[in-house]
Amino acid sequence: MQPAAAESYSFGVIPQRSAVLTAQYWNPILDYAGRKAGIELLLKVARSGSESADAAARGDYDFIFSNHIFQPRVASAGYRVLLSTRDEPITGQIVTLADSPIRDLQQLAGHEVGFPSASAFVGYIVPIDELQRRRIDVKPVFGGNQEGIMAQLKAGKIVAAGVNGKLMQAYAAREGFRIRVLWESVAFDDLPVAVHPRVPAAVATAVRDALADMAGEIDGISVLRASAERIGQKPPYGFRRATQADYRSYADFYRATVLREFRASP
Amino acid sequence: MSACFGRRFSLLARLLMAGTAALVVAGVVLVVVAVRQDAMNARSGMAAELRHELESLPRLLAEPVILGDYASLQQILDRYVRRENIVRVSFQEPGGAHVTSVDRPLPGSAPAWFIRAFGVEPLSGRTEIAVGSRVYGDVTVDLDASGYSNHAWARLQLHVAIILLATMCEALCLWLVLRAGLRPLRRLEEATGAFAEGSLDVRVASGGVPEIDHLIAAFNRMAQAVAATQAALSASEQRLRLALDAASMAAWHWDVASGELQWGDDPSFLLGPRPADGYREFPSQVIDEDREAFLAVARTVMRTGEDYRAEFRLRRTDGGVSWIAARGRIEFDADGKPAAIRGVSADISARKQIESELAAHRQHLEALVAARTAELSLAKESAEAASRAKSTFLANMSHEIRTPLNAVIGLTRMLQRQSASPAQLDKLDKIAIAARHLLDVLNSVLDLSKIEAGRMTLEQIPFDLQALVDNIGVLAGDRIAAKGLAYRTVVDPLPCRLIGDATRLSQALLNYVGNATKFTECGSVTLRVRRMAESDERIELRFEVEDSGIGIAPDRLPHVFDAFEQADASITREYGGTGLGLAITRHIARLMGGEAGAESRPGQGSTFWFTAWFGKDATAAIVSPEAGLAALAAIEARLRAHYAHCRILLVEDDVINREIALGMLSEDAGLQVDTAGNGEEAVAAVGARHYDLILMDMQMPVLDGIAATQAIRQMPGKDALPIIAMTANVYAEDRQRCIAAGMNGHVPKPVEPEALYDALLRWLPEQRDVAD
Repeated sequence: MQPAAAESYSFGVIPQRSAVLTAQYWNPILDYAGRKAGIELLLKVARSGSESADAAARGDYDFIFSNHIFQPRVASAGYRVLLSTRDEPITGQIVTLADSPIRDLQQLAGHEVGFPSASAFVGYIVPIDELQRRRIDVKPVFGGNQEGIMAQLKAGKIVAAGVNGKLMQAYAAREGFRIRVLWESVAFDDLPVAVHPRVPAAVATAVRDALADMAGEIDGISVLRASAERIGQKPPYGFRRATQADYRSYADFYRATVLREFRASP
Repeated sequence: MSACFGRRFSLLARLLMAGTAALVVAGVVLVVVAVRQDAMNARSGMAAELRHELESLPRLLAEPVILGDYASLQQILDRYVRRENIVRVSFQEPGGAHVTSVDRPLPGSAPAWFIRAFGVEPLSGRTEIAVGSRVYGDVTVDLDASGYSNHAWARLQLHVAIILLATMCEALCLWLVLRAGLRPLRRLEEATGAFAEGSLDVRVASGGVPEIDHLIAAFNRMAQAVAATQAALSASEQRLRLALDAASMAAWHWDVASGELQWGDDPSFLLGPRPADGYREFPSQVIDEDREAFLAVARTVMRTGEDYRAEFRLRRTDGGVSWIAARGRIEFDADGKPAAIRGVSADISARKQIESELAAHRQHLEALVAARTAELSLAKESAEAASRAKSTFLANMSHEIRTPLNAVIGLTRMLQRQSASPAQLDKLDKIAIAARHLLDVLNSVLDLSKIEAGRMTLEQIPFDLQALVDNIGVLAGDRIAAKGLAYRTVVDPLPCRLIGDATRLSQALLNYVGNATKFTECGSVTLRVRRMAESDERIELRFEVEDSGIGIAPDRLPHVFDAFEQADASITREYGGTGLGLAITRHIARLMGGEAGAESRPGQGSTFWFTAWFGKDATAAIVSPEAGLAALAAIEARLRAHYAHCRILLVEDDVINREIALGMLSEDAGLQVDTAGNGEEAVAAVGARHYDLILMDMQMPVLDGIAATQAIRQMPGKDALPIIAMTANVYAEDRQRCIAAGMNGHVPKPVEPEALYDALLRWLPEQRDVAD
């Protein structure tokens, strides 16, 4: 069954950057995919990662680009993985400025350490899990999204930050400063595109195919390349088809984390 | 009416009104221009502001619009609307939802009429908010011009206040300055009034502003000048009166309209004693004969405007008649019509009397001159007739003497060539010398007659001076050598050949050299030629002949150049001579632009000199067939060698002269000769056979040489036949007649063989195939 031509579906995006930069990146992609799929995809951006996770938990978005869906409290919304980015896997990092006197995690004890939001997986959950495992108490400060806390690190407002390592490298290169990585997590697959169960399967398939085929088409890859240039993203661009099984490492983490509020029930 | 209105105001009031009006007009213009400038600035400012807001607002609103945070959007719009001139900002989604700022009406302080005049309308603009190809909605901005109009109104009020203040200050300052500055003008006004009433010595004390001070100074100078002029005028009037009295003149003034004549002074010395009832009216005093002319002069003057000049007679009251001269000048009224004649009159009776006597005397003199002129005319005609008779006589005498002389010389030359006896040769030499002397005397007499008649003319042909000097030595050489004298020549080097009359120069030099030879018994004769002056085209030479002879007494020296004069009567007896040679030399020198003279010391010698001007010849030398220096025998040999084939027709009526010529042509030169006794025979001979040259006598019976030549020239093929006159008619006009008749040359009688052969060599065709 083909979706109606004028039918609109919301597409929530985890707020890793400012809303404007997020819209400049995603609106051309969603416009292209919507036209291919014969529907309209409307970008939805929450003010912070926590709000975005709350909205996901409520099932507000028809489609979502976020790893919040693997958190135990969001998993109940029933989002199903359709695609993964072609990017390399992501890692969580705890970083300082290159000229900072802090050279190991222990020196962070008692300091304010920045994080994108309390729901950021590799930006907060994974690094704070590590700090608590090492029994290092820090004062968490939240910047709203990934680049928000990176900007505070650059400005010297915080001495260290938990970040998505790939996004950190792109941001530092774009803004022209150097960092020192104090710690880095194991690798996790990059963010998935998932669909809510209420979306008709045909629509979900059409959207999945449109996004997955994008990098293989001339006009599709040019849209992806233009959006990537806005945020300093490096190739490979676009998406590949994926399933829930491809993100098993997230489930494994939530089962083993020392953070009680994120721990999944066995 | 406006002029009357304006005249009521003083200078001070006018300046105040003019200054105030100028300031007000300038202020109004300033205000209008400023308001218009403000309106233009407002329009461009609002347009720029709107562009700026429409560029910056989408970026500002993008974040809350993307997030859908309309509360933040409302706050931003409400904050934004507080900016100057922005009255409303609104956002509208494509779906229709819209967010609008709270209304913010701007306070207006300018009155409605000013806002209308200001004419700046509110502006509104709209742009869309698009991020990454998605249009989230439109944002609309409304701008109001109240802020600009309020600002312009405030500036207008300020400008008006400044203009009012400036106008008041200007009026006050002007009033203060002028009130003080015009005070000296009143003093000047009072002084002018006094001056006009005759107080020429009034003066105004200086003071006040510079312009008025200059005016006062100018008034004082004017017053002084007027006073001085008045004094000078009085003095001049007195002098004029004195002059009129001294010249016995009376001034008068005649009014055209009334016809009344007014005398400036007492005219009794002109008109006679004044009668009891006064003088009669003019022109009744003018005598009847002159009255019409007198009136005609007046009418002419009034018509043409010329000065009045009249002389007439009038009858005095005492009965006498006086000649009066009147001079005057007409005066015109404002319309250009004659108004009066003003002038003076004088009594010229005495002058008229003298003029009358002079006229009678002049008439007598003219009659005398006419009578004397008639007598002179008769005398002149008589003298000219005598002169013509003398010339005719001389020409006839010349011809009649030369014809037998030609026979004597020619026959003598033939006998000399043929005779063998030394005693006969000696006698023949004496005959030849006597005949040559007779010929010289004849030539000198003829030259002098030409000089006296002013008919001697000079040729202008190139010649070589050195050759000429050498030739003099040759010609005089025999006589110098016969007396055992030394002969020397000293000639300054010359840059070129000369142009002049070589024959006359030779004649002058031969006279000097001949005299020196004649009067020197021992010693030397020296001929010198010196350069005196020179230009690009001419050169002056001085010729001197110095001898060591008997010399000349100082009291005779001044007269030796006079015609028919010699130093002493005994000279003629001892040395012979006509006494014409030196006179001819002096004439030749003068004709050549120079002078002649002599220095002498009795018993030691003399130096005779003359100077002459010559042209300079830059062209190549003209080759003369024979320069006269070659020996006669050589010429005859050349004729025999190269011209023996030539046939010549000799036309000569005199048997003896024909025989002499035949001897020179046939026997001496070896030419073939036919003869003819007159012109008719000559024409017949030319028609019968070919001749290479004709020698033609002029005076012949039946047909003379001139007519015969003209007839031959008419014959076919004879226009180039050389015809040479050989005649005793030796005057220049005779030569001219020959050339005019068509002859090619002229050989004078007695015939010199050199001259004859020279003509033959010039005109005969040379035989080329005979070896030289």
